[in-house]
Amino acid sequence: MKSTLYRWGIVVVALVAALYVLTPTFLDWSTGQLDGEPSTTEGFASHFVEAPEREGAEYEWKGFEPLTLGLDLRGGLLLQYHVYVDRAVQDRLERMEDDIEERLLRVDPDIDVDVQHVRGEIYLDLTFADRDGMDAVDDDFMGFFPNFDVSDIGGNTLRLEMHEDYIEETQDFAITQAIETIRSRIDALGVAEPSIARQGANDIVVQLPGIGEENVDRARDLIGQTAQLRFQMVDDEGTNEFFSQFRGQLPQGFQLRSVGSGYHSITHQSKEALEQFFEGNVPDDRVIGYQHNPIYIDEEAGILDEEQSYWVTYLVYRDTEVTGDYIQDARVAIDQDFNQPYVALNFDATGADMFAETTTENVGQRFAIMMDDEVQSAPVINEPITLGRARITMGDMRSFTEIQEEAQDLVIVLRHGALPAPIELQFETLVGPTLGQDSIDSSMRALIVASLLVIFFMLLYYRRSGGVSTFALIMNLTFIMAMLAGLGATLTLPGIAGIILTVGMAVDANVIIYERIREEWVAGKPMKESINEGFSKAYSAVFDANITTGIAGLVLLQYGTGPIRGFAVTLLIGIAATLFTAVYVTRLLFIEWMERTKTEKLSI
Amino acid sequence: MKMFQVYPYDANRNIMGQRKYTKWVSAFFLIGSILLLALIGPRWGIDFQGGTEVILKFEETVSDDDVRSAAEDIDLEAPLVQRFGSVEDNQFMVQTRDVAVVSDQHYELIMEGLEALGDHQETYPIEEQPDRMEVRYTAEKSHDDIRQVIVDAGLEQVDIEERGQRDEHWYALTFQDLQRHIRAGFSEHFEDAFDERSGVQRLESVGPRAGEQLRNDGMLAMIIALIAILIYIWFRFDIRYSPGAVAALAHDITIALGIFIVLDIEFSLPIVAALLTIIGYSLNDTIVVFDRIRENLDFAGDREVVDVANEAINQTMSRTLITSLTTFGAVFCIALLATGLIQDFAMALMVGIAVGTYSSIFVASPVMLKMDAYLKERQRTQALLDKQDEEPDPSAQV
Repeated sequence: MKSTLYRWGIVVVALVAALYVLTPTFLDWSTGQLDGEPSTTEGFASHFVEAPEREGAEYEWKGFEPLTLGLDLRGGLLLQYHVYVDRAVQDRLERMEDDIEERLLRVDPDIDVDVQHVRGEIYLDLTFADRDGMDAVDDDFMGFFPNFDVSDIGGNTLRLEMHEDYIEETQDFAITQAIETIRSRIDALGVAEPSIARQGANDIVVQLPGIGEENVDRARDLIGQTAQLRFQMVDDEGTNEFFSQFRGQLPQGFQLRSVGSGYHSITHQSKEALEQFFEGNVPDDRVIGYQHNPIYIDEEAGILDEEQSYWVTYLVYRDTEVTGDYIQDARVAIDQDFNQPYVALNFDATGADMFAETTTENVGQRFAIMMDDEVQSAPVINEPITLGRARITMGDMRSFTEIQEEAQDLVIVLRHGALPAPIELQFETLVGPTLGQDSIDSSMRALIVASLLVIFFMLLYYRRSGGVSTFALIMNLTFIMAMLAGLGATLTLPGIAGIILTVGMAVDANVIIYERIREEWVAGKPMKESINEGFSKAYSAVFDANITTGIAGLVLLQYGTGPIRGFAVTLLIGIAATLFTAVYVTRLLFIEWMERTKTEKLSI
Repeated sequence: MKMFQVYPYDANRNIMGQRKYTKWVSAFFLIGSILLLALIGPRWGIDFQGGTEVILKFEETVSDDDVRSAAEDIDLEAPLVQRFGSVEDNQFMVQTRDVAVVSDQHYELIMEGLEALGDHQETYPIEEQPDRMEVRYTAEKSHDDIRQVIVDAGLEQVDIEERGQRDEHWYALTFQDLQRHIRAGFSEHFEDAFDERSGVQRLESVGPRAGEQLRNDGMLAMIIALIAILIYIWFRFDIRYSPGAVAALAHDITIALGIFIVLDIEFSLPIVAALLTIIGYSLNDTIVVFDRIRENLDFAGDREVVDVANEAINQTMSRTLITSLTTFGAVFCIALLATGLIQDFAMALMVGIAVGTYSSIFVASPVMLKMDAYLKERQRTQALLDKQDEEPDPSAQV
């Protein structure tokens, strides 16, 4: 029959696609564990997966990835942080209070002004003793505060209000910066496949699957640290002598290079190797600053050439000259003469004094802008910077966009590395690897026993039709797994609960249909008619039941958090698979069965 | 032909007639549940109230009381100790309202102590991170002096880090965090029976603010789901069916919550998922029955709606029994074999299946009949009124 041929086509195509999507999962599972490491990458498997180039790195999956297990199933650490973005804005305003006052006093030492920021508001009120004082706040003065609007609200008071988009920008920066900081710290831990993602508007979720017990405390500590930006002087005089002493005795992989304007540096592909190398070899009042020098294979796509990229080292004085706490504002500006982006930096009054002192003493030398032990940038002090306005020029041999990107990155670090919005640990889940394995084992056992029970009942009660249901049920599970893998979803415990519910609903769909067929049959209708009537009359009940549950699933997906979302995803996928298998495929099998059988007997 | 039958296909028992008894059964359970909810209230999990939950594994057999006294020894606030898994597993779940080691009392002592060191400039407690504090002095202080203050305040461990500029005396203090405190405390109390490094099997900690938000999100999700489902039924069926479905759902949720309290099931995020599954399941049942009533009404002619409904319930009875029994059996298996979260979930579902099956027959349909009667009554009155309007009073004619 032509129509069934076309229907079979759909089923076969869907099944082949599902099996194709699931192949990486089967390969991964061949070792007995879903850990992203297949037992082989030879022969057939080579079409799906590539072995890592370096020992210990991750396998490269081509096309579809294998199904991944959630932290609750494989063990690991999950931390969710809330970023207090409003605090970033409020802190900025608060710190401006004193600063504005001091700046005004510099313009006019006799001025009598009171600057006030009301907590929670986005403006500062400048109340002058007399109206003449207000003249000091002119365009020149506002040049220091480009992101504020000034308005006269009467009573000798000027109100400086923060721009709406600047507020958003500040908040966004706070989160981006927090994520960046956390990422760089996690990288130092060497955990495989860490995931650091923004969740909702102001939350960050850090997932560290399979993290070793010994690293859990370290991970929490590292993330919890508040990042602090520091300005430290580079030891220009001692640099070449210090690095040259290692000439001739450098192990494989280390190189003595000349970076910048003739300064020496020892470089290596790995930061850890450098750290080990310098341990115990640095004078007490100096530290080593590390800077990554990325080399790209494909710059557009941002693909890093890991072989060629290396870390540069600097010899830096241990003492901190100024900390980032005194930075009031940083932004990217463009030099009109050379058409080159640079970073413009404003210190607040106290910071300006400290910075002036340092830069006057050290003209011609380099200073390092450091975060933790990494050098963000190491510009040369061209002239004393006394007004608290500094300009950091980027490297010179690259393209405009490259420089601009680098400048933007530096701005993020300067603005919020100094003062990232406070973060609060919202929740934490730590699952030991054995408990994870126990959960999988017991859930799988429960799932298998429950499925066998249902299948046994269906076969006993509905006989051959029960066999049809069983076939549809197995297909159903195949589709659910394939869709989960295809969507890159993660299988969690609540996800398994969702699958259990789906299996129940799939069985129910078949029960509704079969009972209806039996009813028609008992009423004396011939076999074919009973089956057709049974299916078509049962449709509305099956669809309405699944759609209402689907509505609940959609709402959960939209409003639910964490574990509930995992449940909703499998539930929705399950409903789609159920409608296809328990209704479409089952019907098709019945049609085929009727074509082949000559008897008027119904095994149902 | 021989077929297994759980319920005869030609039966037409007077099931709807039982509703005059079952309404008392429903009323009893509803009132009981409402009383339980009002007087005892659900036991909120840490998801919803904030706190820390940790599963500890011991190397040797220990008793509940041992674990409880250890938890009290290390000053956990209102610790709740429960065995987790089987007796051979030697695992215990400990819950506490704490999320940090430092309490308000500690805070005051520390603040006083730090000021007493002299040259004190300012102390900055960090509200959002209760295990950290920063302090500034005008002259240098030794780490030992600062550490002594913390120890005197009753805390065991602190990390001191110098921050700020060359001539600034600014110290960042990081107190021991709760997790480490628990590890260290239990290992001290139990010595060899608890391995400090690998004894913590699972730890979950939720800040109080996050807990409140999760609670609100969960409630919101549930209410929105209910409204969406009702609108769908209104469109697919008609206004007569909607109140019946709502009544059945309200009935199920209330009684399920009441039973959770009796069974002492903790109310956590997964239980919200289970409640929603119960809603979905109960609706599923209700819709199958309603679907049949709707279909039968099309051919009913002059028959009473109550008879049609009774017939529909009889016709769907075998399906109802088969599905309920198989799913109940499957979920029962899971409740027996699985552990932890899945087990709680399965138990919640068992309650849901029982209550949902009952309510689709004895709550949804009776309410639907009432609604139908009410609408018919109104129609009749309306028809009467219309008739009066159309035929003016004959006495007024001249």
